[in-house]
Amino acid sequence: MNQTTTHPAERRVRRAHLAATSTATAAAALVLLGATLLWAGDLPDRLATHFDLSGASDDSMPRVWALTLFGLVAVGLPALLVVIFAVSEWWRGERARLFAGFLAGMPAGLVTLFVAVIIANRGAAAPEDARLGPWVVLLAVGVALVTGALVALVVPPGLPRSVHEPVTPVVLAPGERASWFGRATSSTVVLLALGGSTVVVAVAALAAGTWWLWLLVALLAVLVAGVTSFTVTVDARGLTWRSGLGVPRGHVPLEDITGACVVQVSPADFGGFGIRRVPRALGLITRRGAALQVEHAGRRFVATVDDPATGAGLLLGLLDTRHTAA
Amino acid sequence: MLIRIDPRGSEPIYQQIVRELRRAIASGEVAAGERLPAARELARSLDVNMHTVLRAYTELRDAEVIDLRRGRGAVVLEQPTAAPEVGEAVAELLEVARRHRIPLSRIHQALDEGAQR
Repeated sequence: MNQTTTHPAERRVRRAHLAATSTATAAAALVLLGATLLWAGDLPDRLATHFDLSGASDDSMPRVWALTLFGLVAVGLPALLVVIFAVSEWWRGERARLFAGFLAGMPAGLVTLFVAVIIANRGAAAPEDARLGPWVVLLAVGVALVTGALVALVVPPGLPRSVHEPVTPVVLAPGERASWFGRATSSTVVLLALGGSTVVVAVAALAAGTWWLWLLVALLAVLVAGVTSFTVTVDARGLTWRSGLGVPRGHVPLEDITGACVVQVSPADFGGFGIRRVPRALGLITRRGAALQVEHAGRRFVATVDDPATGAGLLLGLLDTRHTAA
Repeated sequence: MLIRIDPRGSEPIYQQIVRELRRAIASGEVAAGERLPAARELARSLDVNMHTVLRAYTELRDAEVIDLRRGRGAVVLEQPTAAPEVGEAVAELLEVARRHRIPLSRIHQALDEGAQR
C-alpha cells in the first residue's frame, strides 16, 4: 500500500493513463475556450441555457455567468475527478482502461453540449430567439462514448494488483467465542471532494435552472451516500455487513465461506467507490489499499475495512474450529 | 476490534467483555469518539444475553471509558494519558538499557518479574 512505484513499467502505465486523460480534458478546455473567444461578440447579453423538447428556449441567464458555469462544469468538474481518481491510482486493476475512458469522455461530452448551446445563441438578438433541439444530448453522449472508447483503446491495460498477503489464523480454544467488528470509512479528502462537488453542481443547477444538471446532482449525491461508511462483523455465524445508514446490508453464512485473506485493492478494480457489484464479486470500497477478501461459493466479498488481517484471521480460525468439530 | 470470551471460564462473561473492550480501546483498535457496536448486535454476535453486554457497557460507563446514551449508543471517551512520571521513567529505563546494551526482551522480563514480586 505504501510502496512507491519505481518500476519503469509501472511508471510508463501511470504516465500513459495520466497523459491520455489530461490531454482529453485539456483539449476539451481548449475547444470550449476557443468557441467562447470566437463567438463571445455574437452572443446576446443573456444566454438561453434551457430548451424544451421542441427546441425553443425557455430559460436564460446572464452571459458571463453562463460562460463561467460552462467552464466550471465541463472542465473544472472532470479535472477534479481526474485528480480524485489519480489519488486512488485508477490505473491499477482490471478496469483501469474503462476508468480512463470515462474520465476522458466526460469533458468531451459536456463541452460538446455547451458549445452547441453557445452556437445556438450565436447571432440571437434575445435569448428567446435561440433554438436547440434535444438531439444535441444524443450528439454529446456520442462524442463522450467515442472519445472514451478511443482513450480506453490507446491506454495500456491496468497494472496487476499485488498478490494476497499472508494471514495468521486467530486460534480459538474449544468453547471460546469471538467477534470482530471492522469499519470501512472514506478518507476525509474523498468525502470533502465528493460532497463539495455535489454542492457546487447543486448551486449551479439552482442558478441555471437547467434540468439535466439536477441529474448530475442526483448522481453525485448517490455516489457520496454510497461511499460513506460500512461495518463488517465476523463471528460464528459468518460475515455480516451493513452500510452506515443500516441498509443496504448483507450476510454470508460461515458454512458457505471457503477462504479469507487480505488483498490490495483499488477503486478501479470495482469501478469506483461504494457498494460495487462486479462479476463474481461484491465490493465495499471506501479507499485504496489493504482489504478483507472472503471467498464463498466461487464468489468474492471484498471490503476495505481497517485491520483486515484480524478479520481474515478470525474467519480462518472459525473455519478451523468448525472442521475440528465436524 | 476483536472480542474473545470463554463462557466456560471462571470469570463472569460480562467481566470478560469489559476486559476485552478495555484492551481494544487501550490498543487503539477503537479510537476515542468512535462508537462501540450496539449492545444487541454484540450480544447476538457473541451468542450471549443482551443484558450481559449491557452490564459490561454500564460498567465501562461508570469507569468513564465510554459515554452511554439512549439513541446515540456507546461512544468511546478520550482516555486520560498515563502520568508524566511514567513516560520519564520509561525513557530513563530505556536509556540505561541502551547504555548497558541490554536487549528489550530482558527489560520486559525484568518488568514482569518486578511486578510479580
